[in-house]
Amino acid sequence: MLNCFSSRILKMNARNYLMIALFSSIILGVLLCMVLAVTFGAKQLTFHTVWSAIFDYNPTVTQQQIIHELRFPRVIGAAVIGAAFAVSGALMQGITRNPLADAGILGINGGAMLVVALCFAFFPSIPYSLLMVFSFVGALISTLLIFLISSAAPGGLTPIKLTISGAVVAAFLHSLSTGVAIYFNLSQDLAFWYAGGVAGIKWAHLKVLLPIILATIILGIFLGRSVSLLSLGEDTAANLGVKTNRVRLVGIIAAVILAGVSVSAVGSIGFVGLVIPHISRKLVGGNYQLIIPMSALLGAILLILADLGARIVDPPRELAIGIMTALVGVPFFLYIARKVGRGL
Amino acid sequence: MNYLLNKDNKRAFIVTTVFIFISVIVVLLSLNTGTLKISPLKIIQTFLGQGDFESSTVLFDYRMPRILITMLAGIGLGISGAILQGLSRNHLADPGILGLHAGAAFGLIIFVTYFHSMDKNIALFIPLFTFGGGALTALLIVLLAYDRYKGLLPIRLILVGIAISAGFSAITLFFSLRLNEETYSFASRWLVGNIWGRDWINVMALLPWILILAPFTWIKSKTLNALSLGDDIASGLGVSVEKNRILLLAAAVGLSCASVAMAGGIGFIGLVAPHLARRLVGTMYQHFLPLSGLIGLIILVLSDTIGRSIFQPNAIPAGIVVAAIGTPYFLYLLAKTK
Amino acid sequence: MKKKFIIFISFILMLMLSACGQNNSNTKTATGTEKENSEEPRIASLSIHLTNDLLALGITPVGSVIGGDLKDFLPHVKEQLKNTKKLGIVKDPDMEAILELKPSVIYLDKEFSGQDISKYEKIAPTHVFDLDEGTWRDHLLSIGKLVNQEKQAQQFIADYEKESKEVQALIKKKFGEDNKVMAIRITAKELRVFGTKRPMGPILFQDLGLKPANGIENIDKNQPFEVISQEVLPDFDADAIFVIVNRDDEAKTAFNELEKTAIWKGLKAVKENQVYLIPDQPWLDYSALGNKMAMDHAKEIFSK
Repeated sequence: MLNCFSSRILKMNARNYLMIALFSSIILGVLLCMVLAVTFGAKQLTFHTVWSAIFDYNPTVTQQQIIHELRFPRVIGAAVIGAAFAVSGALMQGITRNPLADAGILGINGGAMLVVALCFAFFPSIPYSLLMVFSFVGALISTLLIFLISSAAPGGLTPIKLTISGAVVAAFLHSLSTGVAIYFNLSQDLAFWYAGGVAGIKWAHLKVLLPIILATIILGIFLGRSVSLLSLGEDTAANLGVKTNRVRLVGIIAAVILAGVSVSAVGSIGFVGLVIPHISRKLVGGNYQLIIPMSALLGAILLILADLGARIVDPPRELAIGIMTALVGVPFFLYIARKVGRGL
Repeated sequence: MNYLLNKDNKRAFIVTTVFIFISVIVVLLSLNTGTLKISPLKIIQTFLGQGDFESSTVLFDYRMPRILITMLAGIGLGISGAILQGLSRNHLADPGILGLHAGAAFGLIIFVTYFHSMDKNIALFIPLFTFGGGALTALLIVLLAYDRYKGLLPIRLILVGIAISAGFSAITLFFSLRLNEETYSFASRWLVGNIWGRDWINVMALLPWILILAPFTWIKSKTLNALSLGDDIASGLGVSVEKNRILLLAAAVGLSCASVAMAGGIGFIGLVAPHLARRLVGTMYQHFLPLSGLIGLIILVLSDTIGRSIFQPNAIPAGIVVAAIGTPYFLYLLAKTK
Repeated sequence: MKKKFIIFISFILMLMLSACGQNNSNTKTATGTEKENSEEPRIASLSIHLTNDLLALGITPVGSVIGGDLKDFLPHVKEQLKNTKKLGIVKDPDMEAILELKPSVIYLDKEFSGQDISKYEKIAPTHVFDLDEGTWRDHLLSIGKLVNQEKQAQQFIADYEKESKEVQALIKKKFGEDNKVMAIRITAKELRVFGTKRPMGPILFQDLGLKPANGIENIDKNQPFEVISQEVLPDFDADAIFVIVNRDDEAKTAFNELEKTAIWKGLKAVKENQVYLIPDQPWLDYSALGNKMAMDHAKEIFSK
């Protein structure tokens, strides 16, 4: 008896050690990617310059200024936004039990984009913090719309219905945003939003973004246990004492905050929220307490690399970052869609 | 049974006649919209060959080509949507959602990147390119949605379509960001559905596609009826399922991509028009297919007229007006079908 | 069903036939009604730049296209064009408005309207200008020939060259010989550097006699500008920078943010207080009048 118990503890420990090793190596990976991304860019810089910019900053050297003012906020921004999109996707996938959930595909980004376009048109000098709030409201409205539509349809809310009505709403919102853009001559501006890009992120944005996103991700991790149970099925979760409705509400709001805030900063970047949670699940299993932090780390890596790729593929031009994520995301979506379709 | 069918026939005939009447009114209204004011009486006179230089130039050189393109594209999109809904057995299918427009846009961008212009005579090739893009998309979708054991799975068709659509949009974005500002602004307006064809040559580029494919689809009505009931029933009724499905899918791709080539990536017509038609005359394809085309025509002509008259001086592309009218209707529809 | 099918087809055919038939008969009327106007020409201009060349000669066109971004006439000539009919933007001109004007001649820009010449010729005789060929001086002279005002055109150019020499002298006095300059434009999301092509290249590097900064001449000669990253701004090593900030608030914010960065503050031109804010119009209006107004502005800047 005792023997059996201790062996279980041993097993648990072995698993824990494995997890700790996994997480620390991934954190190391994030740091490595960040250094890599800071080093490469439109202007050639040596690793030495990067090193001294970090540890021995001299504000009079132009090259070090470039690193501090342009590259750091950009790379940190990419990391934070990547984490936000990935966690948002993980939460949505867990709560809706829909492996195809992603803020971009479900049209949540579309709502944020429309409101951002309206803000550009009517209040062009709006401060960034307020734009973020509006963007969140837009994301929330489109989320409500999509959930209402897909649950109103006969047969109730199924992953496929959610995805399809999301696509319809996304198409609708997209064409409305373009309409606003054309009517108010914003089309050039908005093109960059569609493409998505972290180039414009400055320290001023990060000051607002960082605390909100980090706090929401931590909230997500706390929700993790309930989300894991919820992902097993509503009845199971309720039997185990989970307040299903409350968890679902808080989780969705957290997901929408993450998506809305990120869109306000970089525009719509799809597929991060779709791909990353699946990979995380493969790595750490079905426990959302682990899936969510893992998604945050992997999301950061994906977006840092996507941004780096966008910069170095065709210098001095920069590709749109959304193209890079789509390159990874589309094959993945197809793979998952085939799997989901098989169940029918 | 026979009696019922007759009754349905009669109803379809009456409704279709009414809608032909409405579309004539809409087209006349659209013909009458423009900077130069021409009285309806003068329009009729001009049509009878009695018009002066000014009104005949305005009508035949400026307004007619555009309106004809709008009409043809509306018909093409309406019918294409009806076919796709039958094939996928899903009332949410639409050439836009299935990714055909994204593929067509890809074809157009390739065209623009290589030819650098929308020169008059080259315009004839644009439908070929958009069709190429659309066909490539359709092929990919079919290949990926095909199951070795179960054949073509309708639901998977849509899911795969959404993914492929996103992928092609990304590639299109990649190409279009490399264009110069002029071409870019053309491409971005095109993508949301701007009727850009203004000349008879554009009409000629679109006409054969609609003229051949629309009647072809109508002849295939019975096959469509059978297919929309399910594969087992269809093959029970003696329809070779796979062959007809591919054939009709190709027709749908041709109709929508040719329309899109001249009218831009207009969504929602393929979704809304068949719905409305089905509610009016029932689910038999021989009844609602022509009506679906007519409703598509009416929606598109109306949207284009609204877009270029109310929002002056910044004309709004028709596709956006369609989305603004179409989506609320679509939502209402979804809410009602409990 | 067959019957309906036939009705359907014949409906479309009827529509087509009637339309085509009408189309033919109407070409005949067109050639018949063409008439020459002996008095002052009623010119419809399908290029904002040609419009301003005409204004330089004191001729007001009866109709002109408007700027695509502004959705209006360019601000520096708006007052002079208050009686001129707006003909839409050049990429999608309002043909009906042109027809309604009954101009005696239409001036076209080959780049935008080259494919539609036959359409315009139906309304009135046309003159096509290739704005990429020659300079605004050549365009002005050929317009002068068309409207019998060659003397005025030559005088206008002579005045401009004279002023250009004056300003060049002012610049030499202020800058010395070897100073290199660049011109940038700030939009909401982009930082653009102007190359040697029109509109900015000729006036900066020829008329004002300034030398291009490092790398300016490497910019694609067929493009007016190139988008760059802020990172490479110091590499141009310009002694003076001309800055155009777009009119929208976002671009203004973007410029304010740029001004706050250490990179901007570290630029040689900024340190030496050689940054010149210039308005987008008339500087980007490559026409006789536009360049003249820009030259006046330059004179004002460098006289201080």
